[in-house]
Amino acid sequence: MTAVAQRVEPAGAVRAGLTDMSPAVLGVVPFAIMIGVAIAESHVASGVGFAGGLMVAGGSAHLAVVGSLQAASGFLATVLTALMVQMRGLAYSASLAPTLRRHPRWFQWLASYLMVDQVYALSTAVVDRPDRWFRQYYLAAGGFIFGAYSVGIVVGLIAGPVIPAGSPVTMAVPLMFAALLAPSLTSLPSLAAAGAAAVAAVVLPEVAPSGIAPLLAMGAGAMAGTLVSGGRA
Amino acid sequence: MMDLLAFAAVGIGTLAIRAAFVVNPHMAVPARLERVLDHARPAILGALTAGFLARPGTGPSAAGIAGVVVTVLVMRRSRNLLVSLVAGIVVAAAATPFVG
Repeated sequence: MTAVAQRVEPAGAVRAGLTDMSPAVLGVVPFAIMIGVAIAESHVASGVGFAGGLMVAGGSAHLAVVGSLQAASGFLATVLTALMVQMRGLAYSASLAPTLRRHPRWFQWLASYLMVDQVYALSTAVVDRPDRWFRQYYLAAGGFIFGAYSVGIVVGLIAGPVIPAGSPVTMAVPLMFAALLAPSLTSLPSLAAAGAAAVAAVVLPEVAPSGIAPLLAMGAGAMAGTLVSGGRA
Repeated sequence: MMDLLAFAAVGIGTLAIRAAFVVNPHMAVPARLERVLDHARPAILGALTAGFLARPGTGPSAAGIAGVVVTVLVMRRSRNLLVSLVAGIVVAAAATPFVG
């Protein structure tokens, strides 16, 4: 039985949120440290890279912005690439909307800001709790993972300059995206989408403007996945 | 300054995406968009992996590809980001002197 199921009284909401988020935090901190290292090794200023994490509110997109800025992809391409990464938030928004619409406007906006993968996943299990309990749980879980993420970034920023240039650790950025990709590879269409996008991401920069090549590659992958699935998801 | 503006633009865009259905009671998700989003995630992450792995003019290194394959396999088995990342980095580092 999870902490969620054991604590239904409002007073336990904060503790339940912190407890339930703990395993996810253990996974997020190393990720945040590596992003901090990536920022330290890029030309992005440390303070800007740190503040950017709080603005973007999503590790993959944060990393995508840092990588695109380092690759000098251009403002528009950088923003569009990162927003493509964040598009799954649309599905989260649609899924949580019936619950969040019952709450005050201030919480709807704050909850939207905190709506990262882990917070979404946990909150969907407690949508039937009383509103006040839900808000306390959501804010505790979201605040915990954002706080831990920020600490991890700072640790990475400090550790980054110590790591020698050309070290294998510098390969961490593409490998982190590969690790995030792995759980999505559950079917032939998903394999086709990832494979086609990967090939296109290597080939297209040779023949298309480097600014739009990543977006074209993502589109090619999504089309390949749709074609292989016969138009079904 | 451009860097900070890029982060700010992504932050505003992200909030707009996540709040879209929450603050707008009349908005509904088109079924077609849901299907596209399902395929978008592997496509986006596949493109980012290969894009950041590739070297201009020569494509990704064999050692880098080996690192990606090991990272994906270990992640699928362990579901542990740190373990899979370390495994991928170790394999890529070990393979570099032999295959480049």
